[in-house]
Amino acid sequence: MTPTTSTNDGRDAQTRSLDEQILRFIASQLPSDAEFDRLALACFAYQYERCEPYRRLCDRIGRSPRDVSTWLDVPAVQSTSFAIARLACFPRERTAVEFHSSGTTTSGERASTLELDSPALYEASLLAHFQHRILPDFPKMRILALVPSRADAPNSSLSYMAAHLIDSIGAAGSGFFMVDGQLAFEELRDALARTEPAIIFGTAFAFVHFFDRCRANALTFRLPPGSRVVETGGFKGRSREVPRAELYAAFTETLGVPRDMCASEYGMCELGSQWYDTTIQDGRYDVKVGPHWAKAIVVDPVTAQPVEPGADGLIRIFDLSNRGSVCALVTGDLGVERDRGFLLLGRSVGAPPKGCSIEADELLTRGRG
Amino acid sequence: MVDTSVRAELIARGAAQWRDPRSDVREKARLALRDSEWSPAVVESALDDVLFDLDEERARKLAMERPNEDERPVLVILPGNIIGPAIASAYCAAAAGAHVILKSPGNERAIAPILAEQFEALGKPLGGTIDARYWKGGDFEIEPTLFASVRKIVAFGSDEALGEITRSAPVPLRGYGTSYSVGFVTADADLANTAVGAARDVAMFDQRGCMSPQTIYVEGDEGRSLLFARALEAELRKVQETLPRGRMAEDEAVAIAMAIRKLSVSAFPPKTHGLDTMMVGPETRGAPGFVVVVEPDGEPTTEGFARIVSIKPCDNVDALVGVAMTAATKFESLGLSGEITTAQRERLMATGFLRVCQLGEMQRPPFGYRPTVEDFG
Repeated sequence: MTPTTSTNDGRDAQTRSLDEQILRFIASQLPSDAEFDRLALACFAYQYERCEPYRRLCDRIGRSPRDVSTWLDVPAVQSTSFAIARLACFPRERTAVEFHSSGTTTSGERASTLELDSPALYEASLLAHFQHRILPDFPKMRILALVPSRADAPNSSLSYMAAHLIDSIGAAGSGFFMVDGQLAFEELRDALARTEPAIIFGTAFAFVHFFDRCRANALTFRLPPGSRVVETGGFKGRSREVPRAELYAAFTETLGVPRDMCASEYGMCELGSQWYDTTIQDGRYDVKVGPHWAKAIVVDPVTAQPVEPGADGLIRIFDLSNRGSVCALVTGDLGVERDRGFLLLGRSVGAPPKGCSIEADELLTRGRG
Repeated sequence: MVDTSVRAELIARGAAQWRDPRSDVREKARLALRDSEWSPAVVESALDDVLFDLDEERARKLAMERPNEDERPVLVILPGNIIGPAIASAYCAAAAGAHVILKSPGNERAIAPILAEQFEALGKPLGGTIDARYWKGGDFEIEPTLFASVRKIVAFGSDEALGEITRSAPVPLRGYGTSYSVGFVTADADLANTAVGAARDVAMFDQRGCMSPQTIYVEGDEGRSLLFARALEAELRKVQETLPRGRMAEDEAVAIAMAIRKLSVSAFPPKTHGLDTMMVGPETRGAPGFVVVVEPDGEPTTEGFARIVSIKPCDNVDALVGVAMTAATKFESLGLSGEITTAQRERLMATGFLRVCQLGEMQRPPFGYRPTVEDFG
């Protein structure tokens, strides 16, 4: 494949053409599986040609664009591969946006990185699906983000996501309520006391912290009708963990948001698209559903091949909005297919503890409240 | 002085019993660990090595150096991934003249009581100095009182867990946290001989100890790394017979499959030499017996567990120093094959390695290395 003429934003004609086709598909009201497959195979050919580490994987398992006829055949990378290889289809100098996962330094674990040569697909995917699943009934709403701002966390996909949502569909009064890693408690309290409905968007650990402060101050709220909660991010060891049911009960008891207006988001730094509970749309709890431009299946954790319906396994995703990196990836999350979506069952166990850590870690875990 | 002399003699006698495969303690340990998560051959090899250099002269020297007057015990929270620290802790405490509480891990509760029995049988002054216990970690009925009653805690765990103990215990903690080891093969090293030792270092305890190499740097180009990887693959195949893998932990086959997928994108292209750069060993106990992957140089891959090892080309020792200085990894040991200068060794140690030893000896640390006799003084 010969690189074609570049345009003024750095993307060559082939890339722009592919992006335009994907954007049209994202905007499509009647998307077909055939069109998804066509775009998926086009993306695979594009990525096989341009992403050398990915091509290594494909060559090792003997599968090139000539060997596949459906998106299900496309080789998938392990999501953690984004931590050890640059999985991008463009030179580093053309990186426009870069997301990093949270990683640790002493454990030897490295952070995953997703590079985008253009934010167009990411933003289109984010906005279209968020409006569809979370805000189908209002054009705009106040968004109160309990995540760090872009200035505080320039490589956080969650911060980028919240900032783009605020810029695009956030009504007056929207903003970030974490400053320097700390919850802006008084500002959030005042924002929650206003009479316009709001979307409270935050990580589980931020909500727990906020609810602890509310309890200490005997504070409860009754948010206006239409208000909703989007919880994301899990705990990641940054706060005391609480059972999910307890957290969701607090959304109602402390914020006054009914359970059927609370949804959980599933996403990761390595992916351009997100999955949401359909609670707000149809009242179903816990079923994560993705957009029509990203498909998820459950695969055998060892072979990475699809399991029988109803069996659990790892979640494998093909996301067209990942055009600039690798569309097909296997996550480390366990799930089971349900109602054209999946139930999230938790993280796969992964590597066993090492470095003499077993017994004292047990002590640590149990010692946490 | 009489006490020191008698103590040294008993320590040496006890250590010799652990080295002797026909001794009572070895037989007891063999029986107790026959259904453990390590293969019997690995257990035997580990017990052969654990006190290999503790003779009477060494014991006498240590006992005279570290007289301890404090009757309060030292608490040792033992690890569950390897068995050496239990025995090493008991003998370090003995050398220091300390009483010790050995808290066994949930998956291995036999060694500490065997040590306590052995010390009783050896007699005073060792008899009665070991209190072997087990409780489930984090027990609020036991730990606060116990932590306050000892004069020191020696614990093996992650940095986060050790930090938690530091916060909750009112006494000093000597912690051995998570760290990683690497190997380095110099340009003059014989690759086939090096692979023999490296395979043993990788295989012991199925790479779950922090002294097991996860990445081995090979001085030279990618081709030399590939040659070493092929030699290591051959040795790991043999080692599957002599030091078989232990029982698979739950979901370990999944973790191995995920690691293989992860490493598939970082391995050198397979067509470079017409040979594959990722060698997956024959299946044993439901998962590949080992994985050897040749990757580009740079930061060490810390993927290693279940005998997964990364081989990386490295220009020279200076390049390794450069990698070690910038790596986000906390290092333990550097296993070496070939010669380096004293100055080079010092520069490597300055980057954070705690020990430089020969490849093949990485899982055979000298007595008093980890823990140390000072930990109990």
